[in-house]
Amino acid sequence: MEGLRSLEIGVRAIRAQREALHTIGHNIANVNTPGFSRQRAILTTTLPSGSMGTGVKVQVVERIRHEVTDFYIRKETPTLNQWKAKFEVLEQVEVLFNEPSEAGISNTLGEFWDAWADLGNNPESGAVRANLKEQARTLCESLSGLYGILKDLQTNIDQQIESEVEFLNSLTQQIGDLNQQIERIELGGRETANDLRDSRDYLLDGLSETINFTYREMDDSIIRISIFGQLLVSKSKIAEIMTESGESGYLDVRWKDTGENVVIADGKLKGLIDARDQIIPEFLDCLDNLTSSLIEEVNYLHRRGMGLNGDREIAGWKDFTGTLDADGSFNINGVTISVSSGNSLSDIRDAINAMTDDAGTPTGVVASLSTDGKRLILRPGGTSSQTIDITADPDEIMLEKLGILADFFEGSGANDISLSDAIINDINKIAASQSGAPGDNSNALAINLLKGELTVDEGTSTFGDYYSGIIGKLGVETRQASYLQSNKELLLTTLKDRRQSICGVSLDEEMTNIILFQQAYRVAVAFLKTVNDMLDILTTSMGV
Amino acid sequence: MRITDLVLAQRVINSINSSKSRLAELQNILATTKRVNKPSDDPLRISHILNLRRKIKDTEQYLENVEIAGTWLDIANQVLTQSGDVLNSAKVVALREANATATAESRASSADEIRSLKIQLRNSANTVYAGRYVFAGTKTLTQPFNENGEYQGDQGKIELQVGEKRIVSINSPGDEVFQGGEDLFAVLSDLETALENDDLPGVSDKIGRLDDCHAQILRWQGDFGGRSRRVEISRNQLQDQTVQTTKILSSAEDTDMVKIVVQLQAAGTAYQAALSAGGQILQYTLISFWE
Repeated sequence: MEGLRSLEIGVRAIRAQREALHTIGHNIANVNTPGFSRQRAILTTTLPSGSMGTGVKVQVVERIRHEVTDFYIRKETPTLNQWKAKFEVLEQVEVLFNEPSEAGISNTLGEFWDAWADLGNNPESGAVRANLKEQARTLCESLSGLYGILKDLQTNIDQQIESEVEFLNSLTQQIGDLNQQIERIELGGRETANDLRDSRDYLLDGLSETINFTYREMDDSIIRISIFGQLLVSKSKIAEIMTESGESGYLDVRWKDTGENVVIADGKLKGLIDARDQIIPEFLDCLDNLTSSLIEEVNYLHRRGMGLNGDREIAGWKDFTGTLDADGSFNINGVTISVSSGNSLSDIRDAINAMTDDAGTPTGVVASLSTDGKRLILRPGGTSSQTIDITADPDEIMLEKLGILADFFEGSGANDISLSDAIINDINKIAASQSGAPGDNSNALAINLLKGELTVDEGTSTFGDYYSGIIGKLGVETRQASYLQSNKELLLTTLKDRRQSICGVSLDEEMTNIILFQQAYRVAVAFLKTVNDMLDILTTSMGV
Repeated sequence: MRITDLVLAQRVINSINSSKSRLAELQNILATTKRVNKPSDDPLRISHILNLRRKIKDTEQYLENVEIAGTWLDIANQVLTQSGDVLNSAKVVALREANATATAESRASSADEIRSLKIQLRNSANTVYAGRYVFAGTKTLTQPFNENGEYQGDQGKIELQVGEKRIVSINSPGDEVFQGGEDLFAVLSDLETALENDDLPGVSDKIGRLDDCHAQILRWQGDFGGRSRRVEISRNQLQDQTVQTTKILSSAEDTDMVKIVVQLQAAGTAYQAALSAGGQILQYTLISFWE
């Protein structure tokens, strides 16, 4: 019947407009939902009967998306995040070095040399010696403190890598789950899982911050992700990634099933790994170079000097190289150790450690060799009241050969530099002189002159210049990371703006559409009413 | 281009953030008055800045050393002048007593005069500055000359760095100054003995030796004076250097305050503009004009 067909059209029109309005409502509701892309109800005419139309229906609710932009965003995001991670670390390193400032090592080192110059001006003065001791301590603490904090930062980054890997696994797990849900919904090709696809795209964006990967959507709606040909997410499985302690003592990122290292070329993970394995070690090495040269050079001269009282206990001893070449013996705490030409330094060490007094009790002296094996170090062992009383025979030649140390610094690098106990306990043992006379400042002068000598980096640089060089390098690297980061950020902002302009919700637009569909709805209702009236007229006039 | 609400909001946030961070940056420059506050502010110049700062610090230390070196040399010079005076007085006495009109009595009393001159000379040679004997070599805590005029010090030199490549010795051992060549104490003692013994030829003989002593002291005065001049030259150079280096450092790291204040005002205006634009744009949608 003609009238009923028109009624049908009216009903369809009302339903279609309502569904379209529903979609608009969904858009408006999600205007601030991250990762949401706007949807559109595509209206189409229903199957006509002959030349007569039969009305309207919602063919599909479509998701507006631009895959190419997505692709570029995911291609650039890893690089941005790599530099972002590096920049963050470098910024922290900059803060730690604290240059230029009074508290930086540059100034502390300067104060240290000045303290030696002051000692040169006044070698007899206890106040000047005490000041040098404090300056030297401050320097030691600055160097070892900075080294320690940089090490902590390295460990901290290592932990960040671990949690980043955990995060990555949770992302791939979620992508895998979504893969399965989307496949189920879209099976048969009748429906599109719009919102689930949005979630999956959003997760892919997130994943691209952590690591770089390639991906492809397969025919069955599954997205397959791989890293340099190794499948990370596929239809059937999620390949998990784990962290394991590597040879360096830090975590390696590996595939859980094969145990092989994951090739990481970009992304936050790459940035963190580079920061941990290259950036920080570089500055640690520089600091260590500087410090070990400082220890070596200052100690070398200090050993050749003497304390305020011409103290034989600490001063005037030379480095020992090779085996002893003269016969002789020496005496420690009244016990004589005889030495023959064939004895090596370790023989002497053993002899000293084994010695006892007449009553058979140990003498309380502990001998050891320095790490380079060239020097014999004697320390009182046991109770602190014990002293080492050494006399050499003949004419103290033995002392020279033994190279018992009058070190200013102890330790071998930035991690363990400290002021030697002997000097902490007695500032008069600071070797300002070479003759032992109280006014002799020759050794203090010599040590002070070190500041202008090419001592660091295989004798190519002064301490100050070398350190300035480190800071210059830090500045260049930080600036570069900052530059690359902001470059990529600019690019990504443009790309994301473009994506937003395609898939984002515009409230004004939705508003306009509301009016459009509301009007259509209103007129469709009027149309229904008209048809109804017509039917009414018909039935009334027919007297039904 | 289709502009969505999120893009608008994001842009407002971005522009507010960037003008705010520019404000913070300028504020920091203004607070520190330095253009370079961290290495990455000017990576090409940061090493230079650190080196300049170090140079200024070194120069300050050299100037301190110059002070001490100058004082030591001045004191030595004073001692030498005093010694010259002592020798002159002794010569006057000797000339007077070498005259045939002088009597045995006058010579005996002149012997006392010479004895006190000798003590005066010894006191001068034993001058202490800041607790350190100036003429004792490096045995600065030991009195260099004892009652018998015997030298107790050593031959050690005390050297100070008074410039980057300039080292100056601030002392000379007392035995070289007072006893090298002629022994001043011995000459005075001999003169004293000759006077006591009323030994006229002995007294005349000492006049020539006193001249030799005086010549010796003058030589040392020349020596110390030369060192003083070197120290003085160093001082002038160092002071010039400090001024120069400070100027260079200032141009490398200091900021042009006027420029920064103007920039700060501009940044403030930009910030306000970003805020008001944001406030206006975000206020309206089509709904504002509904009905």
